[in-house]
Parts: sequence; structure tokens; C-alpha cells
Amino acid sequence: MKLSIRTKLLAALGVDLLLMLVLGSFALHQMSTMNQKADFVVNQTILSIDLVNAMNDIILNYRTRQMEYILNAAPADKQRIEKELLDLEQRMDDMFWRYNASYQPDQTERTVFEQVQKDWERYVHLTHTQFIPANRNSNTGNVHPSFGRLSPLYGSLQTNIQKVREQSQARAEAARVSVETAYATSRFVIVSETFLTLVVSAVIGLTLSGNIARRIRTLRDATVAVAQGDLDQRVALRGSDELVLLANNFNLMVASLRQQRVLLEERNAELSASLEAQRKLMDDLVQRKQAEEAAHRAQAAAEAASHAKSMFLATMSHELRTPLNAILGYVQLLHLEAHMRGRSEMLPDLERIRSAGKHLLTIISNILDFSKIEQGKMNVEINPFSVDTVAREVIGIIEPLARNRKNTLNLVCPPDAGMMQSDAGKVRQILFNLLSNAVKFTEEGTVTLTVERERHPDGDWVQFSVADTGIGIAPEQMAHLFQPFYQVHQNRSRNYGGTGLGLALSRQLCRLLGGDIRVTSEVGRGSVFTVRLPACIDAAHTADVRLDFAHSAHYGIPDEHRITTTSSLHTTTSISA
Amino acid sequence: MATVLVADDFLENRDILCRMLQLIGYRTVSAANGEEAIQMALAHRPDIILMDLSMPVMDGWEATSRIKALDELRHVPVLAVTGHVTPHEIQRAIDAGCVDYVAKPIDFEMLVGKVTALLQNGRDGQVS
Repeated sequence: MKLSIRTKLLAALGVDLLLMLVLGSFALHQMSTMNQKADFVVNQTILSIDLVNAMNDIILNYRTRQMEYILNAAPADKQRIEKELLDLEQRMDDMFWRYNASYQPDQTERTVFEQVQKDWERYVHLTHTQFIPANRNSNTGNVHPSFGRLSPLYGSLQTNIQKVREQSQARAEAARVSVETAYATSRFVIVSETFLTLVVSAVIGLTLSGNIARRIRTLRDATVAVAQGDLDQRVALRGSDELVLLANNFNLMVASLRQQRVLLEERNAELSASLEAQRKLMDDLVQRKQAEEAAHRAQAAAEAASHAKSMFLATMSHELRTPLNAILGYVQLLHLEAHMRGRSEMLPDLERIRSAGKHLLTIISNILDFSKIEQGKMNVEINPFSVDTVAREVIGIIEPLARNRKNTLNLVCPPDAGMMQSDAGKVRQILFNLLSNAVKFTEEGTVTLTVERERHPDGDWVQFSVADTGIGIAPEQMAHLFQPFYQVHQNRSRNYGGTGLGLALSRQLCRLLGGDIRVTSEVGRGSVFTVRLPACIDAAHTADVRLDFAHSAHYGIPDEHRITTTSSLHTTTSISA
Repeated sequence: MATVLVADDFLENRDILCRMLQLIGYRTVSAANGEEAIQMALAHRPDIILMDLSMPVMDGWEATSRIKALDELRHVPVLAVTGHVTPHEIQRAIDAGCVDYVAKPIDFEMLVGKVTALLQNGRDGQVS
């Protein structure tokens, strides 16, 4: 069906209209036919019957007058009757004329009627030629034979008039039947055609509407399915009407939707991927943040632990020093008593106890110093002193140790070494640590302390180098060298002694005094530790140094070496934060 | 014979100091805390007081300032003896009235030198 719905509907309407028109025209035709028949009956048949009846009356009257003519003897009556007869003839002629003028009979009836006319004319002719002449003068009352001779003609007239009447009646009947038939036909045709129209309309309507409804349902189902997300819908409608166009457009729309959904899904996937990536990034960030926080916590914990360790060491050192001081005190007392009471044989042993005790005290002091520096509680006391003097003092302290290990101890100090404005005790402590290490790890070798003064416009520097010909340090151990409690020669520490704090403490002290320490070494050939210190530092300078020194809140406490040299409160310059 | 009052809460420290000083010819009295130190000082009128700073009951700073507040003891030099040599503590000791300080562990020679010098300077007891 390649027509639009509108066309179809119009076509259906057209078919209906056509059927109605046919029906209407047919009905009109039937009506006119019936009308004609009825007219015919009214105008022709009824008229002819009336005329025929009138003619029959005239004929009967005529016969009756003839009888009277015979029976009446008076000439006046005879004359009156003759006149009446003429009158009747006149009327009869008039009837004939009317009949012929207004009536179109069929052939049979015409023939019969013409016979009637002929018979009438002959009857009249015979009446006038034979009957009247024969009876005018008769008064007998006897019937003249001429009357008798008229009888057959009269009979024929009667018969033929009857025939004409019958014909007319037959025609009327035929017309009636025809009208009736036409009516029946019309009724049948109208009823059947109405029914046909109804059926055709119904069929067309039902077919069309059913078809449209079915296809709209298909479309509706498809739209519902699409609305529920099924985009694989495809509406297949045959034809080319609006619904098919709609279906095609619907299919296009669904295809577009499908395409867009695919695009959307792709976009969605991209978005999801992007989100996932972002989430990962976020997770990474969070993890990194957490890691940072963990690192911070760990650092804080480490610092706290370090602090706790330092506190512990300080406390322990103090607690160790108290009884150790008592021991040293009693040794001193015994030494004095032995000396005063002449018990000189006890003196070497007492000296050994004292020496060992001093060593222990040094170790404990180092620990205490180190923990003080770690806690930032080390003070720096700045005094002017002679570099040469300090160097010689330390050499003097180290000399017995060097001798014990069969080492040659050299001091190279130029005359212009000059003065330093710094913390003499700490310089002494650094040199002592470096020299005792050098002596400790060298046997039958040479240990040399070299002092140099570097002159700079913005302040001189003093460099102390401690070179030995000892066992040396492997490169991989250099990095750990200045770490607290690290001992390069772990397996030999028992032989060499020490706390593992000496170098770490020395470096801390160097930095505290605004300088630093470095080392070069070759395994088996020996090591050179070089300390560079500013010749002159002041409170501001150490304050600057302190900034580099993360834990430094306070500086300094004099150690036991310094206590032996600084004896008065009033000559002590101390810095405290 | 000069009298030295040794105030220290550690028995060993007291014992060593006293016996050392006795060996070289001083008379000694000792106290285990600041309160005891004031009582002993009032009772024995020492020529010099060696005052440990960290002590129970009454610490060395408190005891020194109380001694310096007493007319009969004001002239006696007080030498602080301490294991905690920090500028803050030393300053507190000087503020309380100590004339000098000696760090623990005590270098006996130095202690004797300071004590001798303070006694020689007489009742003014000031060190340059």
C-alpha cells in the first residue's frame, strides 16, 4: 500500500460517497420510474376505463332508446327519442375523440377499439338507414325485424367494449405490478446497497484503522522499549505512509540514540578511566602524604628517641660519675696518705687505679659532652690563648701513650702560629681525641701534629693536621666515620678501646667552633685528619654556627680539662641562649 | 687551726674532703644538707664553708643566702662545690653569695689552693 493515510482515508470516504451516489441515483431512477408508472395509471388507464365505461353506458342508453322508440307510438316521443339518439351519437363521437386524443393504447387494444369504432359507426348507420325508417311510422308496438338485425352488431360492440375495458384494466394491473416490482427492486437494491456500503465502509474502516492501530502499537511498543533503554529496537513497517515515515524517523532516532549511547559509553569509559586515574593520583598523593607524615612521625620519633637517648646518656653519665668521682677521690686520698706516711710501694698501684679511673671519666665525659651537644646544651667559652701552647699541652698529654705504642710523636708548629680567640678547652679536646686515635691505631709508626695559620683579609684560619702511618680507613667506612658510636675497626675495638664517640664529638666540637673536620686515608698507609677553625670567633659568630646546629639551644659546659685551666668565674666568658 | 665546714649530701664526698683537709692540717665539720650546714656553722663558726649546691631538705643556694643573711656568719666565705657546672647554676650561686666554685670531680690541689687563698685574704674573702 503505497498511499498516505490521508489518501487512504479520503479514498475510503470516496468509495463510501460513490456507493451513496450510486445508491442515490438508483433510488432516484426507481422513484421516477414508479412515478411514471403511477402517472400512467392515473392519466391513462383510469381515463381509458372511465371513457370505456362511459361508452358502454352510451351504447346501453342507445339500445334502450331504440327499445323506447319501438315501444312509443306517439310521433312526438318518436321525434324526442330520435333527438336523444342523435345526442348520444354526438356524445359517443366526443368519447371517441377524447379517447384517441388522450390515450395511447397498445396495438391489441387499438385494434379492438378500432373494431368498436367500426361496429359503432355501422350500428349507427344501420339505425338511421333501416331502424328509424322502419319504425317511425309504426305504432304497433311490434318489434321490427330491423331491430333484430342490429342485435349481433350490438353484441359485438358489447364484447369489444368489454375487451377494451379488460385491456385497460390489464394495463392498469400491469402498471401496478410494475410499480410494485419497481418498489420491491428499489427496496432490495437500497437495502442491499446500504448494507454493501456499510460492509465496505466497515471493511475499509476496520482494515485501515486496524492497520494504523497495529502499526501505531508497534511504534508504541518500540518507544516503550526505547524508553526502557533497549536501543536495539528497529521498527519494520511496510509501505510509505506517514507511519512508515514516522517509523523510519524513529529508527533513525534510535540509531542516533544508539550511536550517541555508544559515544556516551565511550565518553563514560574515558571519564571513568580519568576518574580512576585521578583516584589513583589521589591515592598516590594520599599515600605520599601518609608516607610523608609517617616519615615525619618517624623523624619525630627518631628525634624523640635520640633526645631520650641523649637524656639517658647524660643521666647515666652523671650517675656513673658520682661513684667514679668517689673512687677517684679515695684514690687521691690514699695516694696522699701513702705519700705522707712513707708507704711509697703503694704509689704505682694507686697511680694505675687513678689513671684507669681518669680514662673512664674521660669516656664518660665524652658521652656526656656528646649528649649535651645533641641536646644543644653545650656552651662555648671564648678566651684568647696561644695556639702553640695548646698544641704543646696536648702533645704532652699524648706523649706517654705514644711511647707505649712505640710511636714517634712530632709537632710541627710555625713561630707565627699566634693566638686564637676561641674555646681553648674544646680545641684541646678535639686535638686530644684526634691524637689519641692516631696513636691508638698506629704502632711503631709516626704521628705528626702540624699547625698552620692561613691568613685571610676577613679573618685568619688555623689548621691542625694529625697524620699517622697507621692501619688507615677503607673508603666505604669513611662515610660512617663521624657517626656516633661507629667504630671503624669493630673487631679490633677491644684492642683499641674507646667509645666510638671521639670522632663524632670532635666534628661536633669543630662545628661548634665555626670550623669543620675532614679526613683522607689509605688502608695500610695511614690517615690524615684535618681540622680547620677560625682563628677568632665571637658570640655572634658562634650564634651563627648555632643556626647550623639543629639541636643547639644552649652551648657548653666546661669539661674537666678546661676546669684545670679556667679557675675563676670572672675570667670566664660564657654564652648561653 | 682553721675550721672548714663541708656540706655535701654524699657521705663519700664528705668523708674524702674532710679527710683530705684534715691530712693537710685543717679542722673539719660536716653537714648532710643546707639546714644542717647552717646549724653547724652557727655551732662551730667555721672559717670557710664548702657548699654542695644540690642537696636534699635545703639546697646550697638557699643555705648560702640564709648564711649571708645572718650577721654572725655573713663574713664566712662560701665556696660552691658542684657537679652541674652550668652558667645558670654558677650565676645563681654567685647571686646567693658564693665567692667561687669548684667543679666535681674535685681537683684536690686546686681546691687546696683556693681554700688557702680565701683564708689568707682574711675575713673579706674576696678573690680578684
